[in-house]
Amino acid sequence: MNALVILLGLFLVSWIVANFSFLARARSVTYLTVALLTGVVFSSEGPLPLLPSLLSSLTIAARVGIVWLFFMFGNYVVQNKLWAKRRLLPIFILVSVVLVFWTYQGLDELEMSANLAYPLLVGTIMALVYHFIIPATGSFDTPARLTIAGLSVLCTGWAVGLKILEPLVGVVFGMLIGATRFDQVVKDKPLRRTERAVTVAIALCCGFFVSLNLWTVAVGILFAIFRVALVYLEVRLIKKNKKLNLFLSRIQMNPLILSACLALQMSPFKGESTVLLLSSAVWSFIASEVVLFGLLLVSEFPRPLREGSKI
Amino acid sequence: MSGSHQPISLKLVFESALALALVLGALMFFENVLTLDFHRTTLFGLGFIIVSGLAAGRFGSILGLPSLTGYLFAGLICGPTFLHIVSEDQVNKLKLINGLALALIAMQAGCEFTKEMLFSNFKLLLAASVSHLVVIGIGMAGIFFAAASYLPGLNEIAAGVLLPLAFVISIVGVSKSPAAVMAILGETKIKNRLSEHAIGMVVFLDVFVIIVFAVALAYARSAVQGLSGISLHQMSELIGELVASIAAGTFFGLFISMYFWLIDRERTLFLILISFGVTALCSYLHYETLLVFVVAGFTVTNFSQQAEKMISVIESLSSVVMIVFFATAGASLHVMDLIDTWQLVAILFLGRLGLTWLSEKIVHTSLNSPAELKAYGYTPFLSQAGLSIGLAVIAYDRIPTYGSQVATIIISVVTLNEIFGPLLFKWGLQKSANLQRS
Repeated sequence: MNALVILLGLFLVSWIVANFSFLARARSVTYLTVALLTGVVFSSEGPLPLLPSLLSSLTIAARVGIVWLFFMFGNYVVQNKLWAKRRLLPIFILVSVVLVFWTYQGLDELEMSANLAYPLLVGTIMALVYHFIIPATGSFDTPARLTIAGLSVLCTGWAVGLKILEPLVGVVFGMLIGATRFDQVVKDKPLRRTERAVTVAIALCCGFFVSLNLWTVAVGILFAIFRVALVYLEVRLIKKNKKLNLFLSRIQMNPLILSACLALQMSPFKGESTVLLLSSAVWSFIASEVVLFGLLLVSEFPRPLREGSKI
Repeated sequence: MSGSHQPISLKLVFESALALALVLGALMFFENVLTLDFHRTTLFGLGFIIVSGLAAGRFGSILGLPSLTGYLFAGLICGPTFLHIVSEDQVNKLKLINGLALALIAMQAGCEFTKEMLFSNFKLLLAASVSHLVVIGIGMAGIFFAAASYLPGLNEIAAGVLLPLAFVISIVGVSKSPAAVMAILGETKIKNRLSEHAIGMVVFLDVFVIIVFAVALAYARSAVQGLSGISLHQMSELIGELVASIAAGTFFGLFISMYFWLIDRERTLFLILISFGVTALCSYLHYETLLVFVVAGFTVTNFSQQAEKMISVIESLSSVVMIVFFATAGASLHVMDLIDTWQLVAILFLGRLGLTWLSEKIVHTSLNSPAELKAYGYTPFLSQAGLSIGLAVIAYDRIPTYGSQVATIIISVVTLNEIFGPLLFKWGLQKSANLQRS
């Protein structure tokens, strides 16, 4: 009970702070940074470290959250949403990272193909179960939504039991549902709203594993600066776009990166390299937000962004 | 509670069974054909319980049984007694959900308890509640105490311990099922004196049961730990806890009303947080959790206009939470232990039916109630479900050494009451409606 209450309590704090209208309006130090920093406070190197047993209990919820986010993402991808296409990048990054890790871990071809085949198999089984359990109606009611959440729990159970990566199972499951039930999931507003809450919980859990090592922080910050510079060059030089909003909207990193890195950290492949990867991603995310915050301060803080503002 | 508010058709039942077979087949494929070292985690157990509970609940509905019975059977079959898909350790971990389920059951019961209902039938409700508490409470304890002496396993327990355990079982025997009563009334759409009496009693009596159960549990705990009954100091502490629980319930009820009135966002998430948070707080402060939530529900219904919102969130949440709750309760059943005590379960079931009839007969004869109440007044009160199982779970957790035995006996009797109770009430309602017409 304690682990769950603590997670819910921390989540509540992050959620309340994240929903302060001041922060939300500034579109700058967003709810995710608040959740990440809250998590860092409770990390093993933070001022209030959580007990390892408590941490392992808390991460169970995070694993379900990861499957859920990637299930939703799978649905968006199949529905061919424009912004979802942009989100495809984390999947490529994830697959590349996984392949690098497997090679690094010395897995042979058979094991590698099994690790890719099992998510496909489990995702397909779960999609069939979904079809049998959830009637094909135009919209969902709350019990149906909760049942879908229950299926995500089962999906996570398969992934953990077979020692395969949750994001892969989630995305296959989501893509199959998106392809066969069309936009049933994507059109459901309450289901879409859960993404925000789950992302906050994931960010909170990411914070628990972050390393405060100066070198790691530096790598994260440097990556963020390098990335912001690339985004600036892309917007100014390649797209020849002088609008402020386009540049600012691309500064924030995709939160799915955090989920993917957390999944690796909780997978059987976890080690020093996964901690480095997750920590760099977290510090990079925070640094990107700080850069964005600074740019807003310089431009038109604290008003909301206006269309057509120049850099 | 079928996972979706769709009408249950034969096709849906068949498809749900197919889904369950698919998951089971995949599990066998991974473990036996691919000979993988599949680690059955708690998450897998939880997901499997949801799928199997949904399938069994839908199957039960088609057979005319309450869905809850299906959930219980699903848990029993998947649990450590039969298929071992969910282990004993996982069942214990899944009991985390119990806090949420009990909170929802108690809040819903509190929400049904309106001031109008209390004032209009106060005399009948009070008389019937006292009659049930005395007749069923003492009668069931007597039956258990007498029968246990002849049964192996139970006859070795000292009389000083057996008597308090008998009182715990008898107090749970007094509890009713608001959920089952509401479900049957919703299904039959019959509104008469019997239906009014049923709604009033199931809620009014359950509040008494929660309070008396707390006393019986404290008595049983001290007896098992070798202490001589409850001292005056313990009694005053218990009363203090009950008063504090009522105060806390009022506070949380007002807090919930304020949230629904002023903020009114993410209602489901808010209620989950409140349920878990308050449950943890009650456990820390030694408050009576169920009483706190009943009072909170009562406060929301009677001192604000937010009850409708709260009931709709509770009903939505209950659909899946109850599957896990009842299936976990089913998985906790140690059926093999029952082989020695099946006679006791049968005696308690029949005894409770007889005592319920007697307690209603005494009340309606002495108050000269209408004919339909005199003849069929006992029929709504055989059903037992969520609250009774919740009390069994609390007994399991809190009574040292004998908690598991007590919970198994209670859940077994509740299972029988749950199967036959709704059928009896449906029959009684139809008969009383015919009697009223004639």
